[in-house]
Amino acid sequence: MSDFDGIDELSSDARALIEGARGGDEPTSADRARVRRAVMAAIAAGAGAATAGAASSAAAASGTSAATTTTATGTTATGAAGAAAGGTAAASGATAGLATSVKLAAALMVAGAVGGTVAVAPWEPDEASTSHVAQAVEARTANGARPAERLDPSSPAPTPEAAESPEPEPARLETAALETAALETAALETGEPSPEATQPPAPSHARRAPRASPAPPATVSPAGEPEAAEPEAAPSASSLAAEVALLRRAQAAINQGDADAALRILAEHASQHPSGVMAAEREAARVVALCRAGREAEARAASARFLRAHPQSPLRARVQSACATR
Amino acid sequence: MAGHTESMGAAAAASTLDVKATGSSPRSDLRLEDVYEQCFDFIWRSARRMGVPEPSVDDVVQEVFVVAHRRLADFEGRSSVKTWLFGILLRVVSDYRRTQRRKGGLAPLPEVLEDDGSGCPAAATEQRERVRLLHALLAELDEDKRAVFVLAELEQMTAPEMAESLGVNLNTVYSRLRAARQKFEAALKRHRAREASA
Repeated sequence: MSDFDGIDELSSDARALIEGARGGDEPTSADRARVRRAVMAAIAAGAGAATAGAASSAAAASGTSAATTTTATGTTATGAAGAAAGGTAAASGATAGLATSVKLAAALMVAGAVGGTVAVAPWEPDEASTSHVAQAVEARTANGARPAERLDPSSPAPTPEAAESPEPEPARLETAALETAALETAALETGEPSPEATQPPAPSHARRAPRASPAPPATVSPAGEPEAAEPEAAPSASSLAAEVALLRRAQAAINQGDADAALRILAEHASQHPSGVMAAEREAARVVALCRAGREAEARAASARFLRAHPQSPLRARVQSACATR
Repeated sequence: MAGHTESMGAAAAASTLDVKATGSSPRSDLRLEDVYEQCFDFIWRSARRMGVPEPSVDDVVQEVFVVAHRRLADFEGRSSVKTWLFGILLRVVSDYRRTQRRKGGLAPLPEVLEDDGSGCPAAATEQRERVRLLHALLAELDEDKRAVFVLAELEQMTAPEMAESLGVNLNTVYSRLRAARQKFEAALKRHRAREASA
């Protein structure tokens, strides 16, 4: 530290400790990817809620990550990432059934609304890529919103035009993130023994699907202008956005130590979106809130229910450790 | 809580179709993506070293980049991105501390994700011990000294950079570093003495 010669140097013991511990605080690539998704989700979701002090953001900690990640990634994805999403949507659609594709479609509709109207696209501010995003979202919307029977593994990926990426480097990263999101989503759904996975859509999903049907290509503005967002997207987009908003509020309440408020908000979510896209996330958050409220018996029951219903869920670890004392 | 009102404002701005993000601000060449790529590791480990407990690191680091995103247009390039971000980190960490205190030390949320299960046990344990000790010693420094110590000793930042980052003058940096080193040494000595007597 030539810069600080003259100030009493550290002892060799201290120096050795510092050198020995230096590498110990590095993040893993999983940390990097996870927080990246959370940041994108927070920004795409309007960010405000995530910034109330350090009690921040549901996204990383709460189960909302699966769906909101898709949202965020859709917002920022370049064409290539979008194309991959299409492929993934098709593939997971084939295995996981309509639930997943609707979930993805809904998330992407939000992406359309957020990315288009607000033109957030914070990671890709240039106009060319914004227009790619718009196109990609259009393509995916069309693809993802198809009824399940038409989603088979061989269904074509979006057009090559949409797959063009102006910036290959970030695009690849986004692709990875998006695929992860899709897989997480698929995992959530396939983990469910519910009939949705193999049978015709439940009413709530059926209701959402038509709304998610593609807007005419005419709405893709050539310059990627903000008006690229389709007004038709509003209902389902806002329903998912409303779900996300409720879960965020619940998480914020948990973070603030107000578990009772969190439980009230979660109950609100349950009554407004009984079979909502984020139902699994809600149940996971509920387990945590019950623990925090000191209602351990109920928490344990809810936890067991959750683990039975979602044996493969990425939220599993969180639910299991919810009541653990730290 | 000042941060709260600010965030409400941010939410309002975002929902009223704030298209500024795509406009050509003076620093539109600076993209959050790049900032993230360059500085994520630095912010992550600095958060740990500033005493953010493991389960909360995600939240704090995320918050830093969300704030950075909001302020990207204000970044004037007077300082390096790294020093600028560290300044944001310090504010986020101090907000975090305040929230924790208000909550009366409620346990932070458990970590969502599994660890990646890598690493060989023996060497890893030793390393973990050293890191734990380092963190324990850092925890004996107050916030100001701790920041200077982390930046100087662990990040090899220069004094002028630190002055930028912390918004203090050079003399203050030096005097804080001197005090920080003394306290750190003293804490280490105490620890060694305890070790020897145990």
